Amino acid sequence: MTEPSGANILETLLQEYRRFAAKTESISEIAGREIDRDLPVDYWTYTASDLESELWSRFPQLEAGLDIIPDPSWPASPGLVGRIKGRAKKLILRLAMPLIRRTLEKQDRFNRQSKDMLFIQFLAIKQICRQVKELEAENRELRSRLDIIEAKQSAMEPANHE
Amino acid sequence: MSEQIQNKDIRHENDLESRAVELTTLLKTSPGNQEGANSMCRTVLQKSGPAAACQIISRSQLLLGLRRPRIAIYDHTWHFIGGAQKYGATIAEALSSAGEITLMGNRPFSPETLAGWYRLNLSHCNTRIVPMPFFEDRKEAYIDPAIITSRTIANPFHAVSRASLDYDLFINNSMLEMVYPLSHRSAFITHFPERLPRSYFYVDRYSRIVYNSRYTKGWIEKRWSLSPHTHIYPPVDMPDSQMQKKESIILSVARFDPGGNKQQLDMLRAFELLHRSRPDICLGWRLVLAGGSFSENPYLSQVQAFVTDHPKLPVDLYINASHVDLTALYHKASLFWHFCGLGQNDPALVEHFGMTVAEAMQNGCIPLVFDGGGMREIVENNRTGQLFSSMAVLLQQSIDLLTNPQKRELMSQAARDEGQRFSKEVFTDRIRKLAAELLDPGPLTNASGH
Repeated sequence: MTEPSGANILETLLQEYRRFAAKTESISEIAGREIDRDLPVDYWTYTASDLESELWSRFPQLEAGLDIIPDPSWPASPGLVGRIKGRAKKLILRLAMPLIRRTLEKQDRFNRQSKDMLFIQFLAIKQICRQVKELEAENRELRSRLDIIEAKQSAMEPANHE
Repeated sequence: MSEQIQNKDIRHENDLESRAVELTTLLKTSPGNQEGANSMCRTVLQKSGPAAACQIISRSQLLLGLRRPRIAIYDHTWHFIGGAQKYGATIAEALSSAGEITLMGNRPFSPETLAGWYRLNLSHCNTRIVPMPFFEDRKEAYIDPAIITSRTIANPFHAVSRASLDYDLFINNSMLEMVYPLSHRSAFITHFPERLPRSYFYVDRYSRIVYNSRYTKGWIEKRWSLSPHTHIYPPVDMPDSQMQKKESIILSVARFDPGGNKQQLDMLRAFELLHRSRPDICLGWRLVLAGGSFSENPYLSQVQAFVTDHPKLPVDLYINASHVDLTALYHKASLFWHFCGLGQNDPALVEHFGMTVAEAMQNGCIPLVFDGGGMREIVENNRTGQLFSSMAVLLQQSIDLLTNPQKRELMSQAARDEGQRFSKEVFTDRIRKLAAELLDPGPLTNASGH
């Protein structure tokens, strides 16, 4: 049997690793490193439209399933002592449940109110932005009128000298 | 935990380059050593992932001269005509001798159409369409990256990231910072940093960041906190006719943007004012507005209405003019007006470069352009043209040039000479140097040589 050439070896290996990469689900795994980062945000540099899309993107996060109660689970506790500990924890949880539930419900109400508050603030800021834009447009219009007046004046100047 | 954006540390790339050299040496000395090659690649796979393993094998194939480099140029808007797309297509033509070129997009397009639009030879180019179901399901005409605002939406552009692994050099001409380059070497072309760094931001993961003007560079530094590497002005290749006699024409070439960003209406108002206030010197002069437009364009309707309402004003409109007509207009026109940026607050709405201004200069049209953005780099005030920051200044400059043929003659020649700075030859030369730097064997340095 003849030995495979360097070219064949490389091509076979390349196909193998490409198939492997194609099967790999996340780009981070393919790249061999975590690629997504939490970049520091400087909101002061954002334009109005940037801020708007940022706000809209954050609204869903306020409903991020904070209510953990429906699915409580405990780590496995092997042995007699562990089982007793587990039962004791479950008992305490059951006893404390009304309190926990009330607290979470309160938190949930607060989240909903915060969301409404944020939305109202967002709309209020939008109104202010619109007013500022109108003022800017008015300012531009006045400046352009001034430009035209200046232009007329400068256009008339040579005629005055004649 | 928060991380700072910073220019890529190319040590990892250089480390892989050394591994590729080792693999090449191994196969040169013992061509049948499958075991050794396997073991080397497995080590890289375990340490750095499958992309790194693919990269060293691909690189080794190149070092052994087994094939030509594979180069992909990606743009999600190939199917639109525009300056940025011309930039990408001209890269494809410039690199025809450097390797196998693939034009990668997300919607169907043909190299023949691009070649016709930009008068290029793209017969050597392959195409590859990478579908993005996220956008196709939305059935929108335009692939809008701005709708990806948070990591709650999976990154649809990772389909392109995956495809980039198949190439030795991946050039992202799309300004799409959400594509992660998996090729061994990569370049990110920035026409303007439109979006702020958000959920998926990988510009700093490219081997080279290229920018089209110093204006763009300033905004890359400001918005992205990155230092771009390589400055390459867009290619401008409007044929010049030295012998053509100039006529009394003020020309504007700009698309009729539906939002009015190119400000043709302001030009009409300025010309009307000029005509009304100084009819003596305006005698015989015409304003010609040429530009592309969609069929239903509210801004164009306003422009047309203005012209209809002022029948005595000598104005000609050339909508979607052919290249032949456009060339003839450049040859004949004496002055060139460009208002884009006047009265704007948003830096993205100021001309980032101004290709038509450079085209006009190559034809000896004297540019009178807004004093801002990339136009400050093209026009030297009072020598190769005039910069203005208000309508009053523009009108005064126009009157001055209209009444002074000798000044026009001198400035026209200076503009013609200066226009050559942006020629296609200069562009091609710089692109080839960049590709050579990225594809030639050996380590990269963080700073670029250009």
